[in-house]
Amino acid sequence: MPILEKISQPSMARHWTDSIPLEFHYTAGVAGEKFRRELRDNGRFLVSKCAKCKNSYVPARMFCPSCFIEMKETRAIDEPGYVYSYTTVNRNRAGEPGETVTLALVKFEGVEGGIIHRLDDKTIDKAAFGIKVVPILKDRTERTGALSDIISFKQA
Amino acid sequence: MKRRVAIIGAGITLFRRRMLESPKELSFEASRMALDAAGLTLKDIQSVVSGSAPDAFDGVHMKGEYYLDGMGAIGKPHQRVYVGGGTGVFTPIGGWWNVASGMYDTCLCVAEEKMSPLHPHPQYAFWSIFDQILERPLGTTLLWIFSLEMRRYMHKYGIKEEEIAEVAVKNKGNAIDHPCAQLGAKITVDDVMNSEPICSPVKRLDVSPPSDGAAAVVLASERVAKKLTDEPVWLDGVGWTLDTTHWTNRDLAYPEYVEKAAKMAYKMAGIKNPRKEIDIAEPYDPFDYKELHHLEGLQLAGKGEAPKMTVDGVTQRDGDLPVCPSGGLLGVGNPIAAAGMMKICELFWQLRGEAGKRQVKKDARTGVAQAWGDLMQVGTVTVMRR
Amino acid sequence: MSQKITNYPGHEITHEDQKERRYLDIEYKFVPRYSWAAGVAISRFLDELKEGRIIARKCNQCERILVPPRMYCEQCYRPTDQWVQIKDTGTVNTFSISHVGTDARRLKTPILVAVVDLDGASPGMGILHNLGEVEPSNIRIGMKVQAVWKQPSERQGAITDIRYFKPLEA
Ligand SMILES: [Zn+2]
Ligand SMILES: [Zn+2]
Repeated sequence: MPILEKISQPSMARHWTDSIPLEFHYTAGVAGEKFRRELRDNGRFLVSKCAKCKNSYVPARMFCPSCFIEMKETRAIDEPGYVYSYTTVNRNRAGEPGETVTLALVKFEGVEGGIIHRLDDKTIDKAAFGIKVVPILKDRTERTGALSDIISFKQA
Repeated sequence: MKRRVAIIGAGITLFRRRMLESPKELSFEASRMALDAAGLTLKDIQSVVSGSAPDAFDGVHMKGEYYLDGMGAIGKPHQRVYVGGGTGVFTPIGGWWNVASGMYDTCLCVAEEKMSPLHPHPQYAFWSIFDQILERPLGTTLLWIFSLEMRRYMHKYGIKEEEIAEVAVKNKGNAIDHPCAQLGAKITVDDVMNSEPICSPVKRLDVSPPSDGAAAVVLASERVAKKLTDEPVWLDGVGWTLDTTHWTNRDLAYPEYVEKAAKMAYKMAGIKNPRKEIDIAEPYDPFDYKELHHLEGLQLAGKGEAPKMTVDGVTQRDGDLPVCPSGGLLGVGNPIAAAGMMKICELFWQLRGEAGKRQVKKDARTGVAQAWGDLMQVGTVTVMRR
Repeated sequence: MSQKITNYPGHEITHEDQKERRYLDIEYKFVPRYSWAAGVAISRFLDELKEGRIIARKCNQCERILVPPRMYCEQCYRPTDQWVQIKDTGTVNTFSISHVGTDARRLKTPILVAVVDLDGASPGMGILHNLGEVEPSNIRIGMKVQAVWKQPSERQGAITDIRYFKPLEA
């Protein structure tokens, strides 16, 4: 038998409004810590290389997900990346109209993974698959090792 | 028809208040160690079961999907099981379904917890497990349910705080010999009694610390296990049950849900007299009185009788029923799901005689591990044998 | 293999490391807002609290009077049958003196917490609430208590319409 007694008048249904506010202080992890330091200090992306399958990964990782062994070898990327895919967003996180931003997944030749970031205003019009891009960095003194150390990517 | 399931390898990271490793990296370290111990590589693993407590600790929504590459689960059948604090012991139970059912011959079971991201204290996330309309507006903390339950337990059976403190003394002492332990220490009942009252009757030293850490085991079917090792540890009984979240309507002095879970596991393992047939126990001890509560739920002590057993030394490592020889959550630390899995690892090592300085005196052949959690409503139990 | 392993993995970040900011932690705040539906039983329960009354539901099969009220009996697994007005007095089932707040920070004035089994509901049917007008050292399990309500104009249909429970004069 179902519950027969229902609330027939919507105004009789109560709601309770509150939030679950949370604050996190994340560690970057063993590999993340190295990646962030390289970005902060030298403005470059750190890559890990697997000694077994020879795959490289960006951002740097501690272990190769397919060989399941630790990756000890790292290198920093000097070459420009390329736009793998891109999208233009004109709503904010709440779904309201907001600033128009073009985001790209930037990949690097011969490296697995990639970096998601915005394209700079001048590059937006030229956005296309495969165009070569490089990061525009904040000044060294302002960098903290976060991806926000990069202002945007521009055409190389 | 169900198949017999064995544990053939175990791995564990350090348990610490805060670790540099990301959840993926912690998972990798524990999984890697368990695979090495079993003499397997990831290619030999057919399915993965993971366990982790609320996403609010690591601070990653869809944590199970996020950490799975650290558990070697990419492209494999993977499931995350979850029953709050009971998750750590529920994780190998999930693995048991995978192997006992005949679906897979090998299953990697990994439990991970990173509680340190939550600021200012991991306690905070527990606020959200209470009823959002009828309880949370009162300013709840998790400590409330523990202190209310501890008080009721003491009242019903006339138990003294000093008797309960013996558990903290024993477990923190045992943890001195655990290489991963966070809070191993030689303390006295007076130290516990004189420690800061935080939510009376709960005092600071009655409580286990929040931690970061991971632990893992490899399960195999009987056929595969016998090929790989001469010393399999059999997962011969599993049980789990939950009670309602209407916790203020329940008897707080006795964990009936643990009794039901234990009886399910004992029946499966063919155990008729647990107190006689169980040689060693790792019940869940996030608070010292919980070990006693759970020993009673596990039918290893009569109702209200676990404190006396503890005071009499029965539960010491050289006693007749060693309890938490690992050092438990009170001593090794409490990275929630990983802490439950730590107990599975401990029984694995104890039953194989590999526990080194922690090795119990008696010749332990059968052990029971148990975890507890959610809104004081779940019991998860495994019986292990060599 | 426990005794054969000499090196357990992991890098601890100590309290001092954190204070000295030796690692590149990432800080993030997250404040999701929710509007929870109270449902049939609790909507009525909150309305009654606003009127200074406590209401329960009765299951005619097991004859239990349930509080907090629910529209189904979780034991008989059938709809409950009727609303029952119960009393705002009860018995302390268990209690605690909490020196910590929700986020584990220490409080200057402790909160007194109790499970109060309410008169008129089935035995053992308690609710969580606070105690007041009592010295912490005088609280006892089994003590009779009564709800202290907010003024009618201050009530909003919330569990906090009851300010706390105080000892019932003998
Ligand atoms: Zn590789
Ligand atoms: Zn009923």
